[in-house]
Amino acid sequence: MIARLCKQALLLAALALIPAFVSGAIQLRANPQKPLQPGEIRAATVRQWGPQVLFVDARPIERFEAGHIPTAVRLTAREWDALVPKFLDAWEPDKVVVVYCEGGTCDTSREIAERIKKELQIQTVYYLQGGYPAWRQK
Amino acid sequence: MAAKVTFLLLRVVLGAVFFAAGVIKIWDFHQGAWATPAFYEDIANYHLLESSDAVMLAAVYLPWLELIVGGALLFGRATAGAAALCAGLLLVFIAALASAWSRGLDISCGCFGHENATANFPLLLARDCALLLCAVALAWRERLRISGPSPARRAEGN
Repeated sequence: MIARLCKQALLLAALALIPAFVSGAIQLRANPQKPLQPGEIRAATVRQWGPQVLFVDARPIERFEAGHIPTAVRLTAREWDALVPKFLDAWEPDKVVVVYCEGGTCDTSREIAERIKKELQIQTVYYLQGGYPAWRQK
Repeated sequence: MAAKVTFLLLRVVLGAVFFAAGVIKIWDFHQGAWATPAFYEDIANYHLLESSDAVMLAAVYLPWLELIVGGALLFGRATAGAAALCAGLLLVFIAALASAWSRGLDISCGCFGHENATANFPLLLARDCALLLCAVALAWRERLRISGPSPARRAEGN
């Protein structure tokens, strides 16, 4: 009887694979968007969150001065100790932190997001897929 | 008779819950589009799966599994296996919710589609534990039913 129960369960699990495969293939064809890594977030999603987002610019000062997301505060690995107090002043418990860097292959935003989580014990932290260029593409 | 009605109700309620949860995660009726991207984000927010491919597989497969299992329960087909699968899924959901709660994550459950509200972890855990009890009771009863009447009952029948 246990064998029959397991057989039924396996059969149902296998049956679910068929529509899952078909729907997955259809969606992939219709929307070949790059999948998100854990902790990564798309600009479109962040836009929906509105003013509850605290943006963190993880780029060097010259890039920040050349253009940044309004309201963003700076936080970089090199200037971590000096910039953390300013970041904490801007942060509120109900805010979602979104870190961005230059996009492309830059890993800085992911590293800063992980550091905020680990060292500052703030859990609602994401890093922006595509970085600042993705935010500028409306 | 009362036991029969109780188990019929358990089967239908459990089936309806899983069927509805599956449908909502597959198709977003408000947007008229696939709900997989939103469910993908919900799973990723738990930070339990390292690889984005694993998150994607779960986001595509889990809703269909819920739908098939819920449908099997609703129509009374392969009930023992469906109830056992329900119990297994609920154990996974309970573990994920407990883990998110213990890590202080401010996320939405993702249980019945994408929501903006933060999950009420104690309530969700209580609900899933109650559903788990139903699933285990149903699987146990179906297992006994499959194995047939006990030797004593059979002797009584003769």
